Amino acid sequence: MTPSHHLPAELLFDHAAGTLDPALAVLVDGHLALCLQCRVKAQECLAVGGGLLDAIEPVAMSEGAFDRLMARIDNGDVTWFDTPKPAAPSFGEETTDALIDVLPPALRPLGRRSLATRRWRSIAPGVKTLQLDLPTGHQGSAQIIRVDAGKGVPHHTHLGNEYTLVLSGAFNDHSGRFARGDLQITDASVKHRPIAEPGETCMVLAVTDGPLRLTGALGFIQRSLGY
Amino acid sequence: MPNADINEREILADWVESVAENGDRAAFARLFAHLAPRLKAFLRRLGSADAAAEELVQEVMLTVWRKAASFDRRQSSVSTWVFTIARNRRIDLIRRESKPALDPEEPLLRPSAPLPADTIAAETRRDAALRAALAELPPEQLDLLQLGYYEGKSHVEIAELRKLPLGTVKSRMRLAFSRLRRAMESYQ
Repeated sequence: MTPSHHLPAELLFDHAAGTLDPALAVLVDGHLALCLQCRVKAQECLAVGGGLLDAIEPVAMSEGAFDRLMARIDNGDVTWFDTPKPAAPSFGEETTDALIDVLPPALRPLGRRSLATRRWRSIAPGVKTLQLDLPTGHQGSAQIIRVDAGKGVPHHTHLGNEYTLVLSGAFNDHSGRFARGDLQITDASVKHRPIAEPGETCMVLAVTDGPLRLTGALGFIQRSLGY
Repeated sequence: MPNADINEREILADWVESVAENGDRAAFARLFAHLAPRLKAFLRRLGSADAAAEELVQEVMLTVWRKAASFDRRQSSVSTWVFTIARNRRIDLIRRESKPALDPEEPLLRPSAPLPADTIAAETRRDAALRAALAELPPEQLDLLQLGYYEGKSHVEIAELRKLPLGTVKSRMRLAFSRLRRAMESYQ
């Protein structure tokens, strides 16, 4: 089914320019995997990058640059593209967690790695979270929230923005209904209580950006959720 | 419609295909002459020092040589393809700084999933229309695009840098993209 809540222009922009925080990048990739309409737009935004590359005032390369490149090619130099995989990818290969089935294929390695290194934590009746294993040192955080059918996430607010991508099932809150592939963006002023629809477990990818807050968005969310 | 642009685009695509099919060094030399100085200018604006920019250009062009067979002229122009390679390389470098033992399967290191061919009609004319529309963009919209794509600023950083409310930056981005999209769509 086609999602009805999509990526806003500024996320498509940051995605194409390559400036997304890693946590948000996971969310954007997740939505793109589930939404043809946004995939077309994302390709258009990359084409804008190509157009700007064409339009830029060239800067001369140093003397002999091409010959040096050909020497590397003849030498069999590899690029980062060809760099062999480290010995880690078998990480959690055998996991049978239902999360893996609902993740778009591109996010499954991240899901497996997270399941192998983190645990689901219960934060309320029928509600569990799993932190995703993302690069540290960035502002954003990403977690999976798993809500049993008919259960709700406790009232909460957050610092910065919260971005929620539905992976399975559906939830409702004051602003509407969100099903697989839908993206909800709420800012710090919003206090909401999402409730999963009956019939199916609702799994979402929840990302916070918490820009320029030194106190840490994650700690605040955990406190407000009653960790 | 600028026919020179269309021809240039087709010629670049021919060269990449010639590299893919025949390992054509003469074609690759012409590609290098066209792309490398633009990539260097681009990477300089993103904040790389001269030597670092040249090294990155070498890596991107090495990738162009090695991955030429993955280029598909129905999906994108050569410029867009090369821009995407440079973008992915830049993301990868930022990743490595924060997490050396990176999973190469990380989705961010790969280009977005390819589009089905039937959604990409008359890509060539669209691309030329895009270039023309870029040249006619209002200055405040072009400024945002350049800050993002050339200088690596996120929309939040752009708002701070230009002392604009976040809402203004977002709506200008929406306006810029819808304008560019209209230009592209009119040539489908």
